[in-house]
Amino acid sequence: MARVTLTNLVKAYGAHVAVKGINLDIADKSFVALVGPSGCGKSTTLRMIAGLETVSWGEISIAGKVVNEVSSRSRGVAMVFQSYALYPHMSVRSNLSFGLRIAGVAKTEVDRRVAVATEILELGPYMERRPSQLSGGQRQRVAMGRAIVREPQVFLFDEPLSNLDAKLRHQMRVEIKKLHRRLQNTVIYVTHDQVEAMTLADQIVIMRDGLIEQAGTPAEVFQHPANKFVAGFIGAPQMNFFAGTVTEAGQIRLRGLERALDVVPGRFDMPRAGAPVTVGLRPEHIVPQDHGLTPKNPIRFEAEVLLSEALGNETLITSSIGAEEFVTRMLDPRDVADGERMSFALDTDRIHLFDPETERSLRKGSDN
Amino acid sequence: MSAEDLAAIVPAEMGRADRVARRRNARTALAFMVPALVLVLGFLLMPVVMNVWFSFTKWKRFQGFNEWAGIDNYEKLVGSVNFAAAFQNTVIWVVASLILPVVLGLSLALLLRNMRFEETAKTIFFLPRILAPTAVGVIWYYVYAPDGILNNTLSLFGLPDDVGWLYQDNTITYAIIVTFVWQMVGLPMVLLLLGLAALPKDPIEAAKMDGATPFQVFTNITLPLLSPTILIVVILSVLAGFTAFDHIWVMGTSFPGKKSLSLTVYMYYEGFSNNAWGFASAIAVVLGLIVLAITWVQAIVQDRVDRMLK
Repeated sequence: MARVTLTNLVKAYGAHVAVKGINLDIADKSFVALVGPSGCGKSTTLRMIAGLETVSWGEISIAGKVVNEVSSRSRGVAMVFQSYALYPHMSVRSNLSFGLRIAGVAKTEVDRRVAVATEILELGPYMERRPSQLSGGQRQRVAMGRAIVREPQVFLFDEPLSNLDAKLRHQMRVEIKKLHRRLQNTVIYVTHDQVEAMTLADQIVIMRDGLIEQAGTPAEVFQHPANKFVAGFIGAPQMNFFAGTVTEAGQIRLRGLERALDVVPGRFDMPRAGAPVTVGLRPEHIVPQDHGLTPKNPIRFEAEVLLSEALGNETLITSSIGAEEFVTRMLDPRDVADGERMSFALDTDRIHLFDPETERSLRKGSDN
Repeated sequence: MSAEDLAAIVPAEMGRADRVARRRNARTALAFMVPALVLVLGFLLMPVVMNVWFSFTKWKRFQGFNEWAGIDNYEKLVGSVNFAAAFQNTVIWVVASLILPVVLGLSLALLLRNMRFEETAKTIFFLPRILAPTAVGVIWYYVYAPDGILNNTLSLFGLPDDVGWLYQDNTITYAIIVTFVWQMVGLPMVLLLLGLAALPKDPIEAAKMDGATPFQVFTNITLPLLSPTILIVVILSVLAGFTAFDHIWVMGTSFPGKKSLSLTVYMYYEGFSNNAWGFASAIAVVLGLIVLAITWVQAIVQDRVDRMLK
């Protein structure tokens, strides 16, 4: 059982505090992704779990045992680095077996485990090669193999795919997912790529400035973001935000729209009439007419196309409501001319509301 | 476009422009190289060739050197007791400078690395390096003197205090090597510190995660990755040790068998005290051959290291 628990975890480098007291409970066999922009403390957190950074304050426990003072090698964790961190002077075989050999594992056992990893990762043809003779994807697989042979309780991944090209990244994503299914270890995966986090993890932890902004399943953080930051970070293209005002009738008025937006009764803690709110709408919920599902409670409006980006299967349209730009996706796209006027239907059932001051979600029962 | 189409468009003498350009490039390159070539030919290659020629003559200073000696000088070398002793001492110098600077330099580098006063400590260990070797020789001459600091210190501990460090066959070479290494170790230390700082951090962290103890990390990862720097340090040290002269010259003046302290010293005595320039040239040729052999070994090792890390 490799449950990982972080309690009030702090990492300070002198006056700079990189991780500011986070609490996280990672269930056994789960796949948790730590995401966030650069400098949010996600890698530092991972490195503390790995034992590569000391813990300034708080506690890390793995499988019920506090490991703050335990050396990396005794924590039962294995790590895959962004740079792969292979030993350049060793063959693939030696790279894989190094950890076991120095631990004095019997040769037959070393061979068996290396063979298993080799088979899982299809490294057979490359065993005698040096890392420099491998492609990026192959190196990444060796790095994963090196973690697998140790049969760790917890796998740590530090942005393992960010040095790969887009196609390979997708392929490796699939392999990591399969690997987790097969080995059933606990995985903690650091990435700045929200797509990776969404597709791989059963639990996503979004971090900013050394704090956890929200933790939840991919569906939870996507559908019910706890604050504006999470709403903007998860989902691509990112959520559109508009400044609105609450009307006497409990609707929301956006400058530049004739009709006020209805709000699903009881869903939000509505501020008093006249108060400002931030309205969030995902690109897919502002539907260009005839190019997508028409929402049940639409508000229709016309606006000028400022920019269109054809992606083939869809076209991203940049337009505006009043002075505020938004991006939407046109499914089953046709040719769009810049400057053309287009009709959109805004899905009032799908709006998110945030407090402009605190940026917290106004949805009832949301985390923060 | 098929190959025929291409051939139809491009004239047959397509390569001509390329050839003209290449020739012009070669001429420009030559023009830039001429000054260096003149220096190398005039001050390096010609003296070497002349030296080899002199080694077959009976040239004495202020006398004609056109008197042919055949291989007399070399025959004399083989039979010379001084030469045998000098050769043996030179081997000791080479072996010592193969091992001591790199081992001490690495130990210091590891010790000082990330230490609180790293910069200060580095400066202190590097300081002797900027002194004139002759001055260092003089200072240490007094350290080793019969009633010098060393013997005095030994007597404090009740150890034999009457060692004639610079007057005995079995101590003088080692005593001078200690001085030499003391002065020279700063550079290996600095080079190895730079090498250590330039090592990729990730494989070392990966080894920690792989369960290696600090010592295992050092022997299995750090040392192999550091080997290019180690090799450079060894090459520099060996060549410096091999051609050491100033320290030996200054510290060995009172030693009866001073001629035999090293091949460089032997060569100097034969050439400038004995005026036997032809004979000295023969010693120089032998020295040159040994350096050539060392360089050859070094090239092989270098190649190995390159291939290991490629």
